[in-house]
Amino acid sequence: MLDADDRVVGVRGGLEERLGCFLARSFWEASPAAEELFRPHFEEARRTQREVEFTAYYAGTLARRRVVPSGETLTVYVTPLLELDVRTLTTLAESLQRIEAALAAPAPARPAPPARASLQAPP
Amino acid sequence: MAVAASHTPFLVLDERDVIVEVGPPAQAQFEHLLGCCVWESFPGSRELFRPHYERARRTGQPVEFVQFFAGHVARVRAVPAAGGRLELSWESIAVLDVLTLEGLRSSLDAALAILERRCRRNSLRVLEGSR
Repeated sequence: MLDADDRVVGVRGGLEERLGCFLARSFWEASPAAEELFRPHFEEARRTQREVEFTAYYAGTLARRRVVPSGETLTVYVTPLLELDVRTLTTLAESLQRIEAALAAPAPARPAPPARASLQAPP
Repeated sequence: MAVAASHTPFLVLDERDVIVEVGPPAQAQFEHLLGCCVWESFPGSRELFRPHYERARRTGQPVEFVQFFAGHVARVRAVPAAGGRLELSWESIAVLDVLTLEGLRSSLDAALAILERRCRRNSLRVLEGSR
């Protein structure tokens, strides 16, 4: 969870061990080179006050991130999808290919939220 | 034992490729692996490193090679010792930057260029040696 200044103010969901040391630190300082990847999505979530979901590679992992705004505070849910395997050039090439293919694939269509009117429509 | 300069990481394998000694600069990374087979400790490394180690043992001569493993390109030196032991030292030449795909691609290009240069140099040595 990030506050209005993008400081990490909460870590949950099994990420405490890995990310707990980032508490109270600027997310961008704690995550080198992440700013240009993530900030546009974070800003969109704050601006629109709507959830934003995106898939990005960062630090060896391709992950889906869901950014949920609540005022200026953001809660970011991370679902790891693929890991880069740097053991050998073969495993590296294979895993990089999988990651690039996943990034190139069209994002799965999300069901549109029901229109308010339809909720009131008679069956 | 003095297999390398004191700042160079080194370790010693016995004749069954079990890690039996770890130099001070490598202790943080390898000390917990003392008594373990190096191939089991580093899955995927056997086919890359073992041929070089076997050559060093077979010929009784030090072997030096450049290899990519675990995100590093390293120059590795294997020196055969008594009883089938091998003294290994290494120097990291390049490290993959895995933070972003851009950084990964550019550091991978640099690593591949190092490996290719090294490969070409070895080929030249073989050609010169055959004259």
